[in-house]
Amino acid sequence: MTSNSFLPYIFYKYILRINSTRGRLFSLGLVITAILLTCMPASAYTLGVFGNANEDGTIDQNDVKYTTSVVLGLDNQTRLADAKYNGEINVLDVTQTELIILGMEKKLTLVDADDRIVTVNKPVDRIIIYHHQCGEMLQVLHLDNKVVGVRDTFERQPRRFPVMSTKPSIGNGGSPDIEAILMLEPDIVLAYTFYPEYESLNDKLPDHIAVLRVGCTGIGEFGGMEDIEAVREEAIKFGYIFDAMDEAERYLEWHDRYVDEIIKRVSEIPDDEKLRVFVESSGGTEISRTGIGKGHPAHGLCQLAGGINMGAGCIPSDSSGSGCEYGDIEVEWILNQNPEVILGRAMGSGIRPYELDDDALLKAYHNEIKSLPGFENVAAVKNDRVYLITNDHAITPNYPSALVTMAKWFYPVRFEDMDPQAIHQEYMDLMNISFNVYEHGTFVYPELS
Amino acid sequence: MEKKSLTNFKKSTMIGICFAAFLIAFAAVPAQAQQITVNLNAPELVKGSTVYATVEIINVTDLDAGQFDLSFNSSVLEVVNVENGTIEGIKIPLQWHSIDTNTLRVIFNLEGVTGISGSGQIARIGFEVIDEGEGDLLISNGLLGNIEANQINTNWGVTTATDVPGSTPGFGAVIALVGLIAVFCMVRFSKR
Repeated sequence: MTSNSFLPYIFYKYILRINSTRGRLFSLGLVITAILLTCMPASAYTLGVFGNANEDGTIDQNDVKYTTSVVLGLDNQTRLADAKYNGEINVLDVTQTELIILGMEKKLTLVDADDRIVTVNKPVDRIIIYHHQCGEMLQVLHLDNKVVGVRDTFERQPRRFPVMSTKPSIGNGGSPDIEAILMLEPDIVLAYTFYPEYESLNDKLPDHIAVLRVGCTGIGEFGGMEDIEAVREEAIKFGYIFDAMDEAERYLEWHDRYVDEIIKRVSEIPDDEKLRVFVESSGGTEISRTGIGKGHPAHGLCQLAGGINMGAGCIPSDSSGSGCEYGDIEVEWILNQNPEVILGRAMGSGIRPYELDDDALLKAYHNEIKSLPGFENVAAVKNDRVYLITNDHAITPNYPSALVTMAKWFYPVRFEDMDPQAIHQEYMDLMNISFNVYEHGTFVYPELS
Repeated sequence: MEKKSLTNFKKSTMIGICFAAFLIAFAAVPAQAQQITVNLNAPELVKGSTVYATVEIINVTDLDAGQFDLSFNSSVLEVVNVENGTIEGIKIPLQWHSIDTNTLRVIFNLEGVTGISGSGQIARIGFEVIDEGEGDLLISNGLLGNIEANQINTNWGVTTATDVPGSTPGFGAVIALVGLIAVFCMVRFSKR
């Protein structure tokens, strides 16, 4: 029996023959739900790689079929069906899609995190990177040996980047050393979305060196499913670019195992039981704090962990143009809001959690918050619910382990059985890095008992 | 003394010409061979009969996919069948669709990206001759791709069976030219 004849058969046999109207409606509802679930795409995002003709979350034989269908005039053209990215869709795009599936393509065109279209010459054997989060993702994909040059800050992080920290420096992100980059003959340069600026990097490199703007910051702007899908998309994109799909899928399996569980448990918390959280970044004063609102990864983490970020919509926009809410907010405002939890994001001033075994810096920051004028009356301080995460731990592809830490801080009973340190250790193992998180590093404060 | 050096000069010039001719020959032959040929062999039309037009390909290398539009006079011909061709015994899996009443779009994509080389038939298209008149068979928008998804330089030939060009046009002419120069040189040297 074909699927086309199977559904009417089920409809006749099991629904129309049910005696009660309520029973019929219930069964009909079940069937409709099942049909809708069957029709839903496997992923909610569109993988921004040319060759993904049907615009789902992967490139497979369905894309070959779709492009064939477009060439025959049987289906509508899609932007990503132009696998060769030459402005026309024909049988060459069919072959190119097959090559992408097999990892044999000579060029791959994709949409980067800045929504720019970038063509990468393959295979990619020489990589230059600017940002640390991206460095971790390359380690997750076991590509650290392909990195030939790094931003100057890598050399000060030998525990976090055992191989990459030994690679030549290409200067800082503010003023790229173009000469140093050219000498290293990279195939690709991986940069942040907002810096180095295009004028100082992209415009000064020859066309054969692809400059790809990537996120890799883990959870991002909204603390919703779209951010999580963006994480998935980026991992899969890296899999295609660097021919490391098995490693990318292994990371996503780890990622989904914990993030899905957090989402499930947080969804069971009634809105009126969710904690009101003030999220800030280190570097504030006694008069004003650096508040974090919508668009910032720490906001996303707070929301996903079941907190309500009180600053969202109240924090001014970041003056550096990153597009998120990030800036000064008066201490007086925080006192009036009386948050149940204060979450500090520690970064800068030597806060390199993998390199430090001493938690003195985090402890000092923790004390700074607790001793702010008037804070002795704030619920978060009174109830000892001031928590610190470190940027290099939480705002990275390792965010699932930070998320579990935060969820456990916020709702200890609901997440009692989850072990964030064990999850963090799994992440280190994914990266093939010999680092014991139980013995070294200062990632959060206070540490979970 | 002067005569001897003049003779040496002429000899050197001849050797140079021969060398240049051989260089040209070796450079020209591959350039000619790179362009492969596709021909549409159209049959004679007899009202009431079923006839087959074949699309043939000569000396292709690493072919992976292709497409073409086949237009015809729909008041004379009616498509009844589109059959897969074979190249060196390998089936060409065709898909086709009528993009209008007078035009078929035919495409194929060989399984995987291993490709195929050689000569054979891409497609065999059956028509019923429904009326008298010209068939107006014509291939357009032809495109062949290789295993690296690059376009294969193709001469989309002619539309009748009686006018099929050679597999490597120009090759014979180049060989003949080289031969003539070689003979000329040998005759000149033997006179010295």
